[in-house]
Amino acid sequence: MDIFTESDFEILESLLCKAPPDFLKTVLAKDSLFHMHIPKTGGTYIKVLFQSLGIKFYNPAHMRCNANIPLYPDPTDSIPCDGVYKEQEGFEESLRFCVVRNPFDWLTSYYFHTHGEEKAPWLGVKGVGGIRYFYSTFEKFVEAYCDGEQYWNIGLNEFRRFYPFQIFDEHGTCQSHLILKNGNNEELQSACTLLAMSFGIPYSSLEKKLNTKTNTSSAKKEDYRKYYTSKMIDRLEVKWENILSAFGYDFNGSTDEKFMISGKNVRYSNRKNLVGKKFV
Amino acid sequence: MVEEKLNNLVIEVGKLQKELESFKSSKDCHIGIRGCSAAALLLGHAKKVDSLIKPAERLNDIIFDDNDQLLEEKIPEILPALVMVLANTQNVLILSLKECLSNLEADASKNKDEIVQLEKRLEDISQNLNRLLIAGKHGHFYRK
Repeated sequence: MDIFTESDFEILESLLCKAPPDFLKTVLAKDSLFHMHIPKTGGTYIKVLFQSLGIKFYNPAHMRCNANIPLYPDPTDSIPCDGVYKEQEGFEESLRFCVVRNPFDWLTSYYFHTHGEEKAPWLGVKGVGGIRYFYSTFEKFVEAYCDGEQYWNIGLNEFRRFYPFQIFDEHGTCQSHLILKNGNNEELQSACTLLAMSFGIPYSSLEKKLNTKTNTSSAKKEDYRKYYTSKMIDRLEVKWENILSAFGYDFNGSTDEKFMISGKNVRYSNRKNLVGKKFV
Repeated sequence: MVEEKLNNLVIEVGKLQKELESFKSSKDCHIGIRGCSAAALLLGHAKKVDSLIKPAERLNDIIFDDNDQLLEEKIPEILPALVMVLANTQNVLILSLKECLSNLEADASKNKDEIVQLEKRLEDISQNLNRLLIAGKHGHFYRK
C-alpha cells in the first residue's frame, strides 16, 4: 500500500463536500468498521470490497437494534438468525455504517432475490424469496407490499412497514453513525471511496475493486424503473413519503448531491412509523 | 520494493514533522479536533508507546467538553503539549519503521512468513500514516 499523493487528497476533497460536516471527526476517531447490513441495499458489494482492503471490518448477519421487533428467518436467504447488533463483536468500538438504498430500486431487488424456497407452502414462507414466489408478478408483490391486509410473513413484516428499521433501537435512536446512500451504483461507489480513503486506503489500491459486481440478480434484467407502472409509483410515493423525504430520494434516484447522511440527524418512531429529526 | 516503500514513509513522516513544527511556531494557528486521537491512531502499530497513550487521552479530555464539542479557548494552553505528543508519535513511528527495515534485511532471505508479516505491518503503518495526513490537512490541525 502506498502513502497518499496530492491526487488522493484532491479526490478526498471533492468527496468530502458531499458528506456530513462532521464526517472526518466521526471517522478518524475510530479504527474499525461495523456494517449494519440492511438486505438488498448493496451489502454484499460492501462486504466484498471492505474485506479486501485490509481494514478491520465487522460484518455480522442481518440483525436489528430493537429486540422488540420480530425478524425471522433471515430476511433474504431463509437461514434462521437471531440476535441484536449491539451484542455483536466490534459494535461498541467501531464506526457503524449502513446503506439505505432508494426504496424504489430496493423493492425490485427485494422482489427479484432468488435464494428463497420456490413454491413455499402458506405457512412455510421463508425469506423474501419465498414471498416472491407467493406473489407471481412484481405488480402483485407491490400490491401486497402496500396493503397491510395481504399476506406477508410476520417475521419480515417490518420490511413492509419501514424497511430501514434495523438501524434504530427501541428509543428510536439511529445506531448507525453513517448512512450511505445508494441511488445508483456511482453514488454508492463514491460513498465507499470516501469511507475507505478516510481509513487510509489510497485511491490506487481502491480503484479496481470499486467496480466489482457481486450478488447481482439474474432475474432482474432491467433498470428498476422499467418494472413500475405509474399506478404503482403513485401508490408507493404515498406509502414512502416520509422515507423518501428523510433519505433524499424520489422515483428516479437521489434528490440532492449528498451521498451520505449522519445517523445523528435521523430518528425513528416505531409507534408512529415516522422517520425524521422531529419524531420520537 | 518494500524497502523503497519504507523509505518513502520515512520521508513523509519527516514532512509531517516539519508541518507540525510550522504549526507550533505560527501564532495564529490552532490545533484541535481530535489531534490526539489522530496521533493515537499510530499507537497500536508502534512499540514503546505506552507513555504516549495516557497524555493523548488526557489532552482529548481537556480539548472537548462533555458533549464532544471543541473547547477552542483551551487550545492555546495545550498547544505545546499537543505538538509534543504528535511529534513524539512521529519519532516512535520512525523508530518502528527502522526496526521493521532491519528485521526485513536480516530475515528477507530466510523466512517468507516474516516478510509477509512485515509487509502487513508496513501496510498498517502506511494506512495509519495516511489517516494522520488526512487529519493534518482536514481540520484536525486548522488555521483560523
